[in-house]
Parts: sequence; structure tokens; C-alpha cells
Amino acid sequence: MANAIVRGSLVRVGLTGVLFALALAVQAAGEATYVIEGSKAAQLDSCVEPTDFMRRNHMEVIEHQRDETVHNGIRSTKHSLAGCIDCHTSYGADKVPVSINAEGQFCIACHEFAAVGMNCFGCHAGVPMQPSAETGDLPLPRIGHKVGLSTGEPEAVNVTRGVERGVSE
Amino acid sequence: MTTNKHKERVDTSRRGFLGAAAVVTTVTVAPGVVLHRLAVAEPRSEAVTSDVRWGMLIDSTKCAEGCDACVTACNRENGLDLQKQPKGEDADQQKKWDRQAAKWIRIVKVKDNLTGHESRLPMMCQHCEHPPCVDVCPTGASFKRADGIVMVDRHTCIGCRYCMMACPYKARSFIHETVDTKLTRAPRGKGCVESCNLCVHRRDNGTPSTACADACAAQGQGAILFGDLKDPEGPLMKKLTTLSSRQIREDLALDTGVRYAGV
Amino acid sequence: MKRIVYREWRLAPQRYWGLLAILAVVAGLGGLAFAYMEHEGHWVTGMTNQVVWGTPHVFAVFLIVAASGALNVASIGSVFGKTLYKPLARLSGLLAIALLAGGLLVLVLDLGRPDRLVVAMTTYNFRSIFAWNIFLYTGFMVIVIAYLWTMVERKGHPYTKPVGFFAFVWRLALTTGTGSIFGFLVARQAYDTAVMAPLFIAMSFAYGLAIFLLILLFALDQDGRPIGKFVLFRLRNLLGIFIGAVLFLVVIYFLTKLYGAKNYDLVAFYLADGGIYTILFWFVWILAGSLFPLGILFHPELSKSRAWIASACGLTVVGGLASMYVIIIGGQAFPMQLFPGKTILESGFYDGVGGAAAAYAPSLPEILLGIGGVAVALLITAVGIRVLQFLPESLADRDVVDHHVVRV
Repeated sequence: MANAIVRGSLVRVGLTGVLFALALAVQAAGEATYVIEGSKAAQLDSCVEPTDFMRRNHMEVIEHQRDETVHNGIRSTKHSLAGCIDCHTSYGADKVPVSINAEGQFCIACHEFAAVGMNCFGCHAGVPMQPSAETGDLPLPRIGHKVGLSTGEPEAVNVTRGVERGVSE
Repeated sequence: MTTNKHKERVDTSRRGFLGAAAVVTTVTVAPGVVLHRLAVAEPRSEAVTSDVRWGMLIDSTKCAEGCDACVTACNRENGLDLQKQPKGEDADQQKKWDRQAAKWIRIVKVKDNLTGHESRLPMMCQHCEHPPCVDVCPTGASFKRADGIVMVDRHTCIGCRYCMMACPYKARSFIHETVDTKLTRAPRGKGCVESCNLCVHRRDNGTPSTACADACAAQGQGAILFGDLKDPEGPLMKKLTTLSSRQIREDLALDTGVRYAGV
Repeated sequence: MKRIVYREWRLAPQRYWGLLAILAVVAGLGGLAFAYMEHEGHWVTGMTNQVVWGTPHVFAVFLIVAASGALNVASIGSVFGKTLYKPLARLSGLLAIALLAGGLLVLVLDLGRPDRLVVAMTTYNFRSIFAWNIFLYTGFMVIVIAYLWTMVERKGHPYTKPVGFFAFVWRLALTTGTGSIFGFLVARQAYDTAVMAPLFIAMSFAYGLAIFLLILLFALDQDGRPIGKFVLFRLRNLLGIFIGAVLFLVVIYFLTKLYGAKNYDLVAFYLADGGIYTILFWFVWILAGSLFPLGILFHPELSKSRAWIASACGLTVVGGLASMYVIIIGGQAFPMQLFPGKTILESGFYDGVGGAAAAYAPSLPEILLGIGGVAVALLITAVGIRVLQFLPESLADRDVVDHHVVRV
């Protein structure tokens, strides 16, 4: 029993160390950028929140927004998964969007490296919404526009608070 | 008046992006307008409230023989036409696949056993006030939104299908296959249950009506009327107060949000 | 009455490992079937949007119901103070855990998103009887393990009775919960009746005891341990009573449904024109699975033969599976009453056009998954009695029965 506890804490210490090293490495890389060339994100200074914050907390931000959208219908914020996809998708030579979850693309490249399994794209589309007059969809460029330009001005929703309080409430 | 206060806040944060004319219009109109009835297409920024309850009136006498515009429109709107039969070309496989593919709305034709009176009507999720599917869901994935829309949170749905056992309208579908192509507005994936959500993306983006109601109107039938069941001055309630309508399976007392006339 | 001695199952190694290998292969096939269904999605099964619960649920519900029934032997011993059943209590507890584990495994592996099991374990909707069942099942496991501990550990003996009583109450709640999964469904005519709960309790008594007896006779037979007539005949009579109780509640079920004119069609579907469901009901469940075993168990000559008693148990198990098929799948195949008093002429979603039943044909992966669950349950039992002291050295009358009881 005691043995198991010791082993457990050793593992925990080890894991923390690895994470710490990873964080240091990222910091050392400094201005290193991971956005995919040819995506809207590549032309912007930072993500919807400071890049450092997003690197560590994007999952909480998205998960929090997910519950807000599904249960409360809030779709105006810059923290939506659709926004991520719109901005971070790159386009092929024929201007056809490449799925953000395709080999080497923004989401999968990092998640594969970090051995993170997530299944957003089992249900969600990996390419931006296609504007269509027929269906009455809002053309996404409008939201994308807002996402791209609103980095300086904080939105009404306080994300850090949401993250601290946990996303599953 | 939280809605008005909120409106002002939204206006401030958006001032930079909206044209001057739009700002003037919104600010002038804002005090008198309740958020949900804004004609301006604007993604929702405040949580839905129970001030509205979305519902429908379906006049089966206007449902025209041979027309399935509502079904086609729903399939397009919600990406149901993107489902593909995974494998198996033989007739048996195809028949089975047709029973496995998700359908949110279908046309049903019924005949009274005694009088022989026939009626034709579209059936979909009835958006009950007391939905059995919500009661039975072990994880709470099946839920009723404040504005009366009954829907599934795919993120917590474990695919147990108990809601499908419990729904008296057989409104729900299980996704039996891996879905390759999906729309941003209608996520869909293997192993979850789904059903009509009254075009919830349209509700949240401020687009009026639903795909089925629009299609029915475009055909000239106008059998489907969509609206707010809590707005006595709205077109839906005005119609409901004058036209005799009923709920399907009234005996279960579920207080459905979709009402039928002429059945 | 002598002190009861428990011993590990002394089966010849090659027989034991052979048995384990067979069970492991069957369980492995079930695992492969699961992997296939999980990878492809449920379109490879016979399940559709009309029949949403298929063969895996037949096996899962059967095993779960039988699990709570298997504990009865222990309950009779410690709750009702019948010392005769005490030597059987350990096996009864083990079997209860094993059957429940097998059943739950099948249930979980048939989920659309089995990867989200942790969601089911952390997010609850307490209006759902299904959510309550998650607690009832896991709680049952914990309580039965505690119960077993009080039996095998000297320090625990004083607690055997209170823990046993608690386990008994819990198992009644568990089967009530399982029955209510169906009983609380107002939408479907075949369910929507409170009699489902007592019916499932009676079923659990019968099916659990039948499986218990089969395993007991097999295990004792394999390493030559005696079982006395007194013990065996007691269990045999008990099984007869339980089967009778199921039949009684089935009659009540149909009378309940027949009393309201709106259910005439449903009763006719089960009893007369339901095709495969009618055949399964009359010939497999009622005739082969209930009346035939009853005939054997109360026959003046046959009831004395161990082989015949074992066959009666086997038939009860087969009848039990058929009963689950009829209730779970037949209940869904019967067209839902969308428009009372009207006939559906056309439908784009198979709403029972002209009163037609929904089609369902079990697919191979579903059957393999279900049988895999049975194999897992047997595997747990086989390993359990082999490595731990679950089986009494002897069940001969002179070892387990007080003399004055025998004379009476």
C-alpha cells in the first residue's frame, strides 16, 4: 500500500517534470510559431487571447464555450470552435480548405506530438462553414473578421474566471 | 430590463465593427425591442431565457399529397443528406440502412379506423414541456433548453438509446455509422442520438423560422407555422387561438410544443 | 451438523486449463465482435432506429437479472436463518458478482460511445432510473464483496447477518430498478406497467437459481464432491416455485394489458399473431422454458435424477433468454401507438404502416458479444472457485443437515 503511494507520487513528480521541461522548451523557443501557413491565423499577431494563454488553456476555453453554446445558445463569442477552425484552416492550391484535423494541420500536428487524444472532429466539421444564402447561415467571415480584429479589446465574457471555476459546472 | 442593459453592452463592444447607420438604428430601436425578436441577424450573446417557447402549428389540411419539401429542406439544412450508406449494395443491406439512417422529420399518412378520414402530416420532435427523453437520460445529455427546444448535448451523450425507447413520437435517431462530411451548423458523429432541434442554429443566429416551415411556405402550402408560444400577439398564438388544434398522444399530457390542426 | 470445510476446486489441471481456454476464446470472440461494432458503428448490427436495443441487451439484462437472483441462496441462509443453505452462500455471492460483471460488460460495450463511460460515471440525471441503476449495480458489487468477506473472515462473522440483510434488500432494489427501466416507459404499450418490477424480481429468482444449480452440479461433479438429496431437492423445489411465480406474474401482466381495450392488439401480438415473438413466447419461454421444467421438477421419478434436474435448469435458462428476447425486442417491434384509433397508411420512418411490426434480425457480432459476456461471467466463476475456498468439501446430507431436520 505504502509502496503504491510512493510509486504513485514518483510518477506524478516525473510527469510534472516532463510537463515543466516541455513548458521551458516552448518558452525557450520564444517566438516560435505553430500556425499553419496560408491560414488566416498566420497573418495575425496573436490568437483571440494572448498566445501563451491559448497554448496552455485553449481546451478549457473551448470546453467552456461549448457548454455555453449548447445549453445557452450563445454563439457570439470569439471562443467558439468554429472560430478556431475558421482562422486556423489552411487552403490548398485550389483554394479548397484542408481539414484542420488532417495530417500535419494545426490541431492534429500538436495533439499528435503531445499524444493528446481528442475527438472533436468525430462530429464537428474540420473545415470552415461555407456561407450560403440558401440556408440562412451567417457567413462566417463576419465572425472571423471580429475574431481577427478584436484581440485588443476584451469581450464581455471573462474567460480566466470561467477556467478557474472549471468548465463542467 | 436585463435585455436592454445587455443590448447596450453589446452595442458598445461592437461599435467598432458596425457601420454608423447600423449603430444609430440599433440604439434608437433597442429600448423598445425585446432581444429575441430583433430582426437584425446577430449571433446570440446572452443566454436563452424562458421568456419564449418555440413551437409550431401544423395544419394537416394544407399538407399536399406528393409533396415532401419539408423533409428535403430539413435534410439539407441539417446535413442529413450527407449521410452515406457505409457498405453493402444488396437489397437487404439497403433496406436495413434505410431504417438506420437518421431522419428528423417524416411525412405520415393516417386514416381513422371508424370514419375513414385521412390526414397527412409531418412528424418530428414535438418539443414537449415534460419530455420523457429528458427524464430517462442517465447523463442529462438529453435536455430542454430554456426556450423550449428539446435537444441532445452530444458531448455527454453516451449512446445508450434509452431516450429512443422513451420517446412516444419515435422522433429520435441514432447515428449508426462514421460520418465523414458534416456541416458546421449541424455536428454529427457515430454513436450519439439526435433529433429535430427546431433549427437551433437559426434561433441563435437570429434567422427567422425553420427550414421546414420556409420550404412549406415556398411551395405555397404554408402548412407549417413556426413561432413563439409565449407571445400572445405573435402570428403563431394568434392562429392557435382561432384554429382548433390538438397534440399528438394528448393522453400522455406532455404539453407538446408542436400542435396539429385537422388531424 | 459438522463444521463445513471449504476447498479450492481440485480439477485436473488439463481439464481446468482446457475449460479456461474455451471460455477465454469465447470471451475473446466477444471482444473482437465489440471491436468490430465499435469501429464500424452500429450499422453492422441488426439494430435500427425502430429496434434500438438488440441482442446484446437481451444477454445483458438476462445476466444482470440472474446475478441478483444468484445471491438468493446466500440470502436464504443468512437472512432467513436456514442453516442448510449456508454452505452454498459463498458460491452464491461469487456467482452474483460474476454474472453482474458479465452483464454490465455487455451493456457498456454496446453503448454508442463506450469511450465515454467516465461521463456516465460522473454526470448524472437523477430523474433517470438508468442513472439510479448505475449506483444500484456498482453498489451491489461492493456490498456482495463485503458480504463475502464477512463469510470467509472469522472477524466478519458477526456482521454476516446484517450485511446479508442489506444485500438482500439491495438486490430487490436492483431488480426493481432493472424492471422499472421498462416499466417506466410510457411511450411503449408493451412496457408502461408497474408489474414489470415484480415480474423481473420473480425472473431473477428463477434464472439466478437455475444458473446457480447448473454451476453447482457441474463443479461438484467435476472433482467428485458429494451432494445430498436433501440439499438438492430443496433447491429443486425452490426452483419450481420460482418458475411458477414467473408464470403467475406473466398472467397478471397480460390481464393488466387486457383490461384496457387499447391493448388488445398488443396481447394479440404476443399471444397469437406476432410471428417469431409469438413462437418464442409459447414454445420456448412458456412451454420449453417453464412448463417443461416444472413437469420435470415435480415429476415423481424424473425429479429424483440429477441429470433431469440439470436439464430442467438448462431449459429454464434457455426460456429465460427467450423471455428477455420477447420482452425487449418484441416490445420494441410492436408498432408504437402514435395515433390511437387511426391506422398509419404511409410513413417515411417505418412507423408501423398498417400495424406492421418493426423488422429485426440479430447479427453475428451482437450474438458473439452477448455470449462473450456469459463467458466472462463463467470465467470469473471458474477462476474464483479454483483459487479461493468457495466450494464446500461435501454437501452430503450427513455433513450439512441436522438430523432432526432430516427426519422431518
